[in-house]
Amino acid sequence: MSWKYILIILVFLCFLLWGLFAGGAPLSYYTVLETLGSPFGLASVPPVYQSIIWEFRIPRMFTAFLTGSALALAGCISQSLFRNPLADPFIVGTSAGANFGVTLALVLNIIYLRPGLLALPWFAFLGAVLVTVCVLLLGRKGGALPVNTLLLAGIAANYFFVSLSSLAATLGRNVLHRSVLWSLEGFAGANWDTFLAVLPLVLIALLALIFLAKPLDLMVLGDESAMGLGLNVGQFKFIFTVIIGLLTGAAVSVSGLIGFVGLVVPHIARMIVGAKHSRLLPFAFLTGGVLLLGADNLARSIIPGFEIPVAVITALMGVPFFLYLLRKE
Amino acid sequence: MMEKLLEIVELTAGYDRGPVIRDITFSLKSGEFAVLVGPNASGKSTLLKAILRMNKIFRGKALFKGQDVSTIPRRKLAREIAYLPQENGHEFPFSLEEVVIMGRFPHNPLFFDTPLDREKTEEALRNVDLWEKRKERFATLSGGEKRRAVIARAIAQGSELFLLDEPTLHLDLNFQLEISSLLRKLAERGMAVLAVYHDLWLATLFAHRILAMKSGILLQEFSPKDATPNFASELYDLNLNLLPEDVHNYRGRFLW
Repeated sequence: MSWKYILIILVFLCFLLWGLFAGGAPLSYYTVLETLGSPFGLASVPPVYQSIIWEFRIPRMFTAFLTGSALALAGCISQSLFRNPLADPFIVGTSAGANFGVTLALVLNIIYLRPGLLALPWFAFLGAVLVTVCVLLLGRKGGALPVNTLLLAGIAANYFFVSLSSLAATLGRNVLHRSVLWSLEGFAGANWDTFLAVLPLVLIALLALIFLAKPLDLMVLGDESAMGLGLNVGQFKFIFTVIIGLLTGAAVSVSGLIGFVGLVVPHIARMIVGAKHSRLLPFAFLTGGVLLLGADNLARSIIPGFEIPVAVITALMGVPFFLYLLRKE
Repeated sequence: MMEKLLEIVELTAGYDRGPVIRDITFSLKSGEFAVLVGPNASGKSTLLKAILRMNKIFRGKALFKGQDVSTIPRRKLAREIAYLPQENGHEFPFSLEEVVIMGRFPHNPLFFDTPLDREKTEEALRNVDLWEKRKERFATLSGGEKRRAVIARAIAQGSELFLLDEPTLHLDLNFQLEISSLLRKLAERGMAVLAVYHDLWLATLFAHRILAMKSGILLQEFSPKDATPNFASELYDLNLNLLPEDVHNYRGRFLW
């Protein structure tokens, strides 16, 4: 078991190293080394290098890692909750919700919540959580929360909020253009603030999941078996849906819409460590983070001086894998 | 006299739209293998679910060791009563061992499995002769092995009462005999088993007692020794001989 973790952590370290060099400004190995040492007084470099490494590349890498982790965890929960290996974390309508939040902010022309605090991520986050709550309310049926109804409520909410966003975008000038740009911008705007905004949410979810690993195992068995094993199924479905909403909300708020990580990573992790959530969740956390970190590094190094949207990279990597899964199922 | 483990008193239960079973009264002792038979929609599954308060109880009560089940918290109830629904569920790549250890959830819902969890899991797997296959994927097991595996999960749960909804569903004759004989063995060891069966022949061969339900009421309750072909045709409104005349000659011929 442990060598799998050692391997993934090694890949993580390699990707971190790679990420220091990836990007528009070509920095030599020596410059990067010097810049890494500069805050500790080991070398002195021009402030612009310090800023590139310490204020852009490093926080960006950690943000990408954390976002990938959040999407992977949310994907694991979605697939187990819906007992469907092809479910993804946006299934409960969070992507449409985030998009709606962003469109709303653009239509109302709210750029900053207060000086220095960008409004878009918060609107995206709140939109995602709002729609998750709507889906929970719509999905309730006689006090219970049947999986199929939850799924249909998610689809309905998705269409509804996509339409609302489209309406707002056609009414508001220039909004469509900017909301599309937002959904594609990936981690280009990431800094320590964005990292610190996502960190607590992901940590709280991770802590919660320590208590929720076994309930998730039981969810896979189906409602009746889970109840027979003493799980309060209705209550846990609610908790899991809220966690999916928080995690994907946090992810989209910093990165826009990144597909396929939440869908594919749980599969990769299950192939390697099996389906038991006490092993699956920590491993998916690492794998999701490492995968998105790698994808983001790739996004900013394929074409020198130009950034490909990271969502394009994840889709290009994810689609073939997804098709392979479809064939295999 | 043996202790009454489960006591159902004038139970009327069902769903929001109304009761499905009415005024059911019976009791079950430790060491007893009782079988519920009856046509579809006669309320057999509803009865099992009512005992676990998975549906709505309108009147009457179900008592476990004298305590009303509606006052027992769900996780504590799971330590006392194990329940196996019709389907084994899921295609996720759990190993057999991982499926069985889920039976320990009512005892230990936290992240790590304790040595006791593993010990009970081993015991349960050995009980159903699946210890050697513990690392194999649950989804790749045969139908009979899957059933034995979920029964092992119920054993690991450590409950004194087993409720099973059609434990022989989708199984061929050999596996039906194997599972029924396993349930009988569990009863001989002191557990109480209440299972829904559609096969009157199997019920007559293996059970200590047969409870026949029809249209939501408990029609009759008798020992398999008294089972007559007549009862079967009455139960199903068919003028057919559903039970071979010589069925009693076979009792005890299958090991349990």
